[in-house]
Amino acid sequence: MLRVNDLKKTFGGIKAVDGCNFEVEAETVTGLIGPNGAGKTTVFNLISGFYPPDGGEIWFKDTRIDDMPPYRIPRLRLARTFQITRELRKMTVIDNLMVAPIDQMGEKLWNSWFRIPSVKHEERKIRDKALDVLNFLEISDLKDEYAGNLSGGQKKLLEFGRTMMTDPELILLDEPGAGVNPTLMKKLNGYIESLRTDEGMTFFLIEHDMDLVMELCNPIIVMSEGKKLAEGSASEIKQNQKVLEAYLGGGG
Amino acid sequence: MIFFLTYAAVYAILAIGLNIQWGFAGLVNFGVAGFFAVGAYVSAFMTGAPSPYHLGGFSLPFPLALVIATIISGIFALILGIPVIRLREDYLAIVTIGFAEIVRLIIVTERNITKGPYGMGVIKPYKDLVPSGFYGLFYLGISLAILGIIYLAIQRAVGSPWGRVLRTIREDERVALVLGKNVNWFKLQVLILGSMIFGLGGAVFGHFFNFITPNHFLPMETFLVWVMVMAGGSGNNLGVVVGALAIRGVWEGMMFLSDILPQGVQVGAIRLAVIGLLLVLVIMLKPEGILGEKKTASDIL
Amino acid sequence: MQLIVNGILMGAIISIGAVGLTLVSRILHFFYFGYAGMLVLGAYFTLTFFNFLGIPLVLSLILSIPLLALLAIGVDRLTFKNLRSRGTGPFGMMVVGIGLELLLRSGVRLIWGSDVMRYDLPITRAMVLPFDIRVTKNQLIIIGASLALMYLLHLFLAKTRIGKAMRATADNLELAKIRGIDTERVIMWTWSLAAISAGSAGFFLALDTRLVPIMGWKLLLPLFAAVILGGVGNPYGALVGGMVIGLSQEVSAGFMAASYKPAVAFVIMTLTLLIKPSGLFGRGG
Repeated sequence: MLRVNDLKKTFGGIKAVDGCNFEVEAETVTGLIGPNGAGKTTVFNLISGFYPPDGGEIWFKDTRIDDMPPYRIPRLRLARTFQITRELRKMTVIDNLMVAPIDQMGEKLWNSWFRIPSVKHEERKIRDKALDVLNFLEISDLKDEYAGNLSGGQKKLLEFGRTMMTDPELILLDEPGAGVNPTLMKKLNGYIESLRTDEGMTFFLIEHDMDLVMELCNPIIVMSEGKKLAEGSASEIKQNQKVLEAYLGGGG
Repeated sequence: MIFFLTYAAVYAILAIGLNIQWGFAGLVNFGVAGFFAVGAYVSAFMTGAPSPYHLGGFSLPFPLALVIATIISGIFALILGIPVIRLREDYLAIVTIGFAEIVRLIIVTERNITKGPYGMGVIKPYKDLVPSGFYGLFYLGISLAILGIIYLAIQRAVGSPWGRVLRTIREDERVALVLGKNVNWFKLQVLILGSMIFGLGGAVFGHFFNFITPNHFLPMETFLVWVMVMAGGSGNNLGVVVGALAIRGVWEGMMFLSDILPQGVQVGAIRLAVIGLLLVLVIMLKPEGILGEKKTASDIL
Repeated sequence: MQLIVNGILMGAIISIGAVGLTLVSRILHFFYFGYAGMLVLGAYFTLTFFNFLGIPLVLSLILSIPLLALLAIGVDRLTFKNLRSRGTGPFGMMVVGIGLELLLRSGVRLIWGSDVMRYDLPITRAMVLPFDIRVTKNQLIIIGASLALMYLLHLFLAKTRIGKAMRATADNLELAKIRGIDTERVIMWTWSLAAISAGSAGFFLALDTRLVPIMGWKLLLPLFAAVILGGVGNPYGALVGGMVIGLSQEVSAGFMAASYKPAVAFVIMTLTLLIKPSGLFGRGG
């Protein structure tokens, strides 16, 4: 589903990503781990199109995406969350969700003036979907709250819900567990797993919480110093000498 | 009083235009005066009688001239916008000030077209249909009608999904990109739409004042509109209309000071100081302005 | 040919003014429109000392500069320091700066009046040089003094500890903080250098032409063009930028209307931002 070939990115002399190769298979929950500075978030940002790679290619479902502007990529059904949540603070929770679907009719100015019935119809559908997502994530009571007023965990759920609004085939999760309490984390795991089995979604997540990764992800890709170091199931990775060295030696 | 209200209505139109750009989309446009000027002069050209002193003499009907002025402002915005839209806010501010000044300098210099610093007369539309005593009221009515239409249209636009995308862009551009929104295209749309409104305001102004000179389009005019938007509540259309009325009131009201104050004190300078002080205070005290933004879930439903 | 000489004169004035502005823009991290106020006050303070108090001209200028510095630092304490601690971005600070410019300009109008003023100097006849160039003694002094000041500023920035700290902060604010550089002190010195730079530029312009309250604003826009052209934060870039802008503006009068001179500066500035936003010598933006 997602393939990264010999990806390279340098920032002012530092090789953040240095010939990285891996594949993410469809309908999996694949983990991406590695010590700090291994290049994981850079890889995510390259996939999202925030900056172009200095070398290599990124393929998503047989389409090459490394040379696309970032706003084209969600159209291919690829969504992502951020390590530090980027909720739209001064907008309500439901607005945060309703802005997510792509290519809404009402987003064309002409339509919002002159094709009101159709736009209203689509808005209603989007609103219903947003309410469904809020329901699924068990935060329906927050719908009219300003996103900026939410707790850290609720913001994480909101970002997660935002990705669900676009019916993606692949969701990139950047440290979903960061700053989240264990109970909520268990719930998130449940959501991820059920979305995978029921809807056939693929998840690719960066995480530092080892327990979470070991429990949820299969396979796990390990990065170190800008390259893939190892790949395998949870038990394989736990016993991999090189992985242990990378973590103990390189800090993280 | 009618004069004052009509003047305020013109500026309210400008304030709504800037509100879409800054209040809703976070786009910094310090070139308001430039588009204002374009609208005023274009409408003057279109409606005027032929003259050897300036361009124009098409003697077109008033509504058509308004439309043409609006569209041409939009074209200027398109040409300016395409290269410039991606600049960071403060750089965009400087470039747009530059644009407005270039427009003004062209008006000043090309006297054969615009009569330069001597100014151009602008017709009173429908002068013959309305008894002269009522003309002021009549034109106030026209201005308010136009203000009303713009207000309603923009309210609809910002409450729609289109407006929601704008607010997303203002909050966090990266998120807008990640949600598939073509941010630069939206910004360009906003620049064009807002500038068309500035042009329309300019045309309404020209036919109200009946005389336009380059000095009507100094950077100070842009700053006035900015104070109106920031003080009235960025992102709140009613707020900025109130802001327009209030600031216009302060501006004109200060002229009356000259009657009370001792001889030799310059009211013009005091007006400058008050606006300057307002700009400083608005940032230091309350960036949201007086009324703030309404908690809108999209209200098209 | 005369135009080129005019250009060099204007370039010298713009250059000396741009050095301070580029440092303020970079270290304070926003475009400070209130700099126009410093330009104007540089000229008017000197006027007061010279015309009204009879102090010799050069001494008048030298006395004005610390006043300007104090004013700038005072304003900074009152406004920008607060905004800095609140994390206000460059746009918010710029708006406050615009407000300050209006306040300062109106202050000048209220204190000194709106009428045109001049320094009480005898009228000097222009010397006629080869190629039919006309320059006055004052104009040559301006060019010479600007160059001298630029050299002094260069020495200051290159040799003194605080100068080096300023350059480091201009280069990379975060790194400078990490290295333990006292940024508040650097900021104070930045304002002081700005006072020297703006005060001189304002004085020179007034010496060459005349004093009007709006002269600061009029000079400010070509100054910004010079700063951006040279690369924001690069004092040497500002010098080159100033010369380029000055020359372009004056030479343009040879083939288009003189009233378009400011437009030339704007066009150059816009082109710079579109083609190479970091300016000729990099590090801008």
